[in-house]
Amino acid sequence: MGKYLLGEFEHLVMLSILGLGDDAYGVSITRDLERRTGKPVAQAATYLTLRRIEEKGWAVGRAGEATGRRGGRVKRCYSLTPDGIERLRKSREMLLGLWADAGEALS
Amino acid sequence: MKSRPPAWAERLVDRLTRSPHLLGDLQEEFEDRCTRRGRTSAHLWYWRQAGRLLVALGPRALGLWMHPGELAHDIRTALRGVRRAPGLTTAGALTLGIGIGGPTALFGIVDGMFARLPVPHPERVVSIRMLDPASGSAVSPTAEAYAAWQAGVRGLSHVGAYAPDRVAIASEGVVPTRVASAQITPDVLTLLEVRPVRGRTFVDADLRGGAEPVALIREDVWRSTFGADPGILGRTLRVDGQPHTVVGVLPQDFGFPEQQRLWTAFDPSWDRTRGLRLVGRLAPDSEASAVAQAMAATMPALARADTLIPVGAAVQVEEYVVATLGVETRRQLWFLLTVVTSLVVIAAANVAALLLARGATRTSEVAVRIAMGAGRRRVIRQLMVEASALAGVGMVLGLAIAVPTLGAFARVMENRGSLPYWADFGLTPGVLGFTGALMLLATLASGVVPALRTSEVDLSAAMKAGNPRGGRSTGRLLPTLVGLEMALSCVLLILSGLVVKGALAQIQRPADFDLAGVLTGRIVLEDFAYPGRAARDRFIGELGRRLDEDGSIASFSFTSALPGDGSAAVRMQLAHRADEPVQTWPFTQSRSVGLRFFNMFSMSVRSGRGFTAADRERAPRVAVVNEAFLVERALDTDVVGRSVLIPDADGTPVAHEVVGVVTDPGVSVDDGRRVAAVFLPLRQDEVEGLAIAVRAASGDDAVARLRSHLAALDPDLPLERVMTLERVIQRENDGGRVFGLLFGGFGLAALVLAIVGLHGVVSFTAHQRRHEIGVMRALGAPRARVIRQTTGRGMRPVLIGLVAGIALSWLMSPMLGDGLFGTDARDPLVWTAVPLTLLVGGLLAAVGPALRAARADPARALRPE
Repeated sequence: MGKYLLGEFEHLVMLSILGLGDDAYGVSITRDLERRTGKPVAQAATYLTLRRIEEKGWAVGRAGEATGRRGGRVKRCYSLTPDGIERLRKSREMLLGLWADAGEALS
Repeated sequence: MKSRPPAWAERLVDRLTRSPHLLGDLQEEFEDRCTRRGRTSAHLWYWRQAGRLLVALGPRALGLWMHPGELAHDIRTALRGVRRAPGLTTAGALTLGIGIGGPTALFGIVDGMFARLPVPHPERVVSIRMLDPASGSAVSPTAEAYAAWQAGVRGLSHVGAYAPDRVAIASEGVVPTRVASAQITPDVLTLLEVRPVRGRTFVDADLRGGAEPVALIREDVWRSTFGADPGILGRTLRVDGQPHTVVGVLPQDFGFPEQQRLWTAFDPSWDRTRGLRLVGRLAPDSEASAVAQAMAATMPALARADTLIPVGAAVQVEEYVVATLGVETRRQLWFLLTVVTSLVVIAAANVAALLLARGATRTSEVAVRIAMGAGRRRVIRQLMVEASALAGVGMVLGLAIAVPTLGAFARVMENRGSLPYWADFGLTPGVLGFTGALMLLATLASGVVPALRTSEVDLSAAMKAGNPRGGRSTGRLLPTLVGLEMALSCVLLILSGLVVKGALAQIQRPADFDLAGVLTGRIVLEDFAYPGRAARDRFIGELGRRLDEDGSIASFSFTSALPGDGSAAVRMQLAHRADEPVQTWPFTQSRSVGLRFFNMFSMSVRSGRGFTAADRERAPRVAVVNEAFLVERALDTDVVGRSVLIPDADGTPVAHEVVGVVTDPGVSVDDGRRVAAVFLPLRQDEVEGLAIAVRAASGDDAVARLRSHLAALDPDLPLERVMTLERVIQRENDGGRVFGLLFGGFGLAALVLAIVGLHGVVSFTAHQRRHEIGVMRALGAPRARVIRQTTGRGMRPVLIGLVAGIALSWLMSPMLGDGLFGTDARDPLVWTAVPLTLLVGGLLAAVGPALRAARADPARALRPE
């Protein structure tokens, strides 16, 4: 496993997938991120990131339901792969380590 | 009705991603947005998403994305192709260089002139003007209006007043000089966020009654005039004879309002007649239009309190640089830039034709690559890399053309003293970006069609041995390119022809007088050395007597401003219309002249008399007007004996009796038009700066004689700006000359490119048809027919292109307006000469190859290769 750092947006999207559980698909992830960050998030950006983390094997998509509001097109619901979860954990450890060292300076 | 996502955007997203679930996601969000924010917002949102996807995925989807290794290979292959055709490479790169360089130079000029002020948030610095409701022209805001607005206007964080001027500065142990200056209120420096290099800027306390007068100087004045004296602060400087204390040195890159080098603090209420200008800073988030409205709302009350403010006056609030240079000027320059940018398209069409022609001979090479599994996309990519290599070299050449042009333009502007301090004619990021965009445009316009066409190979046909035509026919593509090129060249030539004609009109010699041998110089009789009019009069009288007695001076004259040198304008009104407010009186160019002025510059008295020695200080005030003045004010020569009013330094109208009318050899060169002018006797006017024109008797050095007379009278008095009268006028013309040259260059480039391109295309088509021509000749067709047919084929797109070009120019020419150079958009000479030149040029370009084709030996042409 290479020493690959997660991009900030990648990181957010992956956490959102975890948090949303079964209902993690393009629209819900985008709205979740908008609500949490308080900033507008482009649907296209979410799509591109989802596509990238799927290519890297950190998430998998499966077909979900199709509704009329979607023009009859199915959703693609995402969940993280063990590899993806491992990535997140590593990232968290690294950040916590950094925070622990920075904590003194901050307080 | 239910809203559907924009079909084209949806198609684009589909093409880019092939992902139905993304389309579903987008539609779901789209419908949600329709309900929450309305259809327009939802549509915009959808397009934005499509745009982002296009940027991210477009190159890959179009097959342009490539692996670095593949790219390197393609570049190597492209370079090999380029090396193998050095002629085509040189011609293509030169063509694109001209096509890119011309528009870049003009962009640099426009962008440099309209550069932002070098201050934080320059877009918030606004010029505030009061508009006369009747004429729509700007009137000076009054001190009262300034005071009222300074007290607070919603949306405006600061407002400052200023008045540009030119003053003499002198100090102990320093050579007296004159500099552009401005009186400003402390707010001006605050709102421009100027940080002094030394000392401080102005504060409100500087305006309090009894405070000592203070001045700020610019770094270059500090260095050159004061030798960078470290004790400059607190030093006393005489500004027009008045002692001022230097309190600060401002940085070199500051020169508000345009190119000022010295500033004094003033309060507009000190001199209510002073023409004021106002500058403001918008508060964050406030709009210029809203501020203008808020200010306009205060106008009725102001107009009631102050008769100088016209009733119903409007307020104009515009970004400072744009307002100073003029919205209309900017529009015209951008229009011209758009037209000139077509030069790059013309050049690219030329290169496209070259590449198409070359592609037709490369069929076998391409076929081999495809047969070996390269894939069409790969071939297209390689051809595009070739085209971009050409455009890249073209861009470098273009910059090599544009950068020196910009430098020359900046020098001319500086020599004229009209380079505003914010102007930047260097290689700015804007210029580089523009050039980059042109390069991209050139790559696409010259590369795409040839690449698509060349890569479209019928393998079996192409691989057959002895393919006699050397590839597939280029069909209608080449003639279309020629037509396009002709049309664009025609537009560019006509419009640049109009600009050049306007600029030439401006350069035309203004006068019907003899310029030859007239030398000029300037002296300034400073107040401190020559206090009062009597002292100056004595000096001028004595100098005149000496010059008169000097046998080597044939003639001489004194004036406040030379012919052809910009002159001051005064408001002036006929006595019977004196009840109109002074602020609405029209301006007329004014000169104070000595007794010999009319004589020296061949202006004869049409009616009444010229000036005499009797028109002295205590005598009744008199004036002489020129014929153009009569035309402008619709008067007859019976104006002699009537009275005109001219406000004096305090703004009080003073009656002058018109004693004569003179003919008008141009006293000014404004657009080459005759300019209305009024002349006042030198001895009745407060003139400090005096221009002296002398003409030597044959062979004598008039300037040396003048200098010796001056030295005898006052050894400390410098003679400045010594040059021929011709140069004085030329200097005024430099702007027109530069633009004339520039647009002449654009036009010439368009002409050459169009004709060279046409020649290349006709030669190529004739070469391709050599087989067919050989058959015709072998079957007994006369040479004349071959020539006629080949020329005819070449000329058809030329004619179609010309007609389209003329129609397009006709539609576009009114947009030139008439403000920039007094251009006449329907100038018959330009409209006939340009199409004729293109037609003749086209004919010559087409006939040559036709003759060659007809002369070819049919037996040779028919021989299989």
